Amino acid sequence: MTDQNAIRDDIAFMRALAEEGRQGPLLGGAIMMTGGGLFGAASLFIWIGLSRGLSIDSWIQFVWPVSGVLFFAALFALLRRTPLPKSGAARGVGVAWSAAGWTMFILIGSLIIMAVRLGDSRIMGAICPAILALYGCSWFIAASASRRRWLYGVTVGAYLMALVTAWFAMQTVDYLIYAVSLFALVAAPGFLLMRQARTAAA
Amino acid sequence: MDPDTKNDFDIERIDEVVHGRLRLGVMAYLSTAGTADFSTLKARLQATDGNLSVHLRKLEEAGYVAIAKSFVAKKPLTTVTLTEPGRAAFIGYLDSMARLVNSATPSI
Repeated sequence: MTDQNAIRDDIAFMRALAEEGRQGPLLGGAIMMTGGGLFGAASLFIWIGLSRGLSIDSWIQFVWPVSGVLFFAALFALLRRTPLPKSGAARGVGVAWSAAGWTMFILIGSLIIMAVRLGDSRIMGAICPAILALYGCSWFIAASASRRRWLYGVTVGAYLMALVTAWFAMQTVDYLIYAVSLFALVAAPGFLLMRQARTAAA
Repeated sequence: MDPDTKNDFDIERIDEVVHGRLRLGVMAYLSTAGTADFSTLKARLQATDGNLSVHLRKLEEAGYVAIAKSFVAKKPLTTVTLTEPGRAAFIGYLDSMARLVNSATPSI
């Protein structure tokens, strides 16, 4: 009887290990959707303002800080609702996204410091390509870890748009390109991942 | 399916593809590792090249593993990855084994 109990426990243990390795849904899609949507909308507002002849020193200068505050408020609310990842892949992708988010935050801070110290606002033109390249990096990790092929397409798109925004840096149209990139390459994939996670949870 | 249910063991439901000693070893190893290269599997399972190849092919034909061949530093590298159907089959196999143990336990 004791031997059978031990065998039963061993089988249950192996089953639990095998279950844990299942390819669970990628979490954090809602955060990507919110971030991509908010910052995409901010970029779009700036493009509209600049296209109508407004100066960058007008109310436009407050669009980024306001969208940043709104995003952090939403982030805290969303993180509370996000369940813990069940698979190693989902855990790894979550860490990659967190690392990319912190890197973006530090990068933007660093570029602002450089621009102020050197008195050259053109340095800020590096933000859009750098952020899109970081999104590309995050999607690359997500695609590889989760074996979702469509995410490789998103990766290529993000890398490509990083180059495009670099080409149009410091031009008004760059804000429109950046907005479309954030909607298509961050918000939309985030929405799809959120829907997949909800379907898996149902 | 509840693996704790007693006396519903059906030998016909044991997956023959998983049940082989070496194939079971491959499935058990990959269920936690996810992916492993051929040399690692060979060493961990103490198998020969030919024997392991035959059993991996059988698992691949069943759709339980995916085999990818590439070159690293001009040397061939074969990697074996457990597929989702493979994981489901392995979990199903463990459930069958659990039922077998339960059915062999005398009722008190």
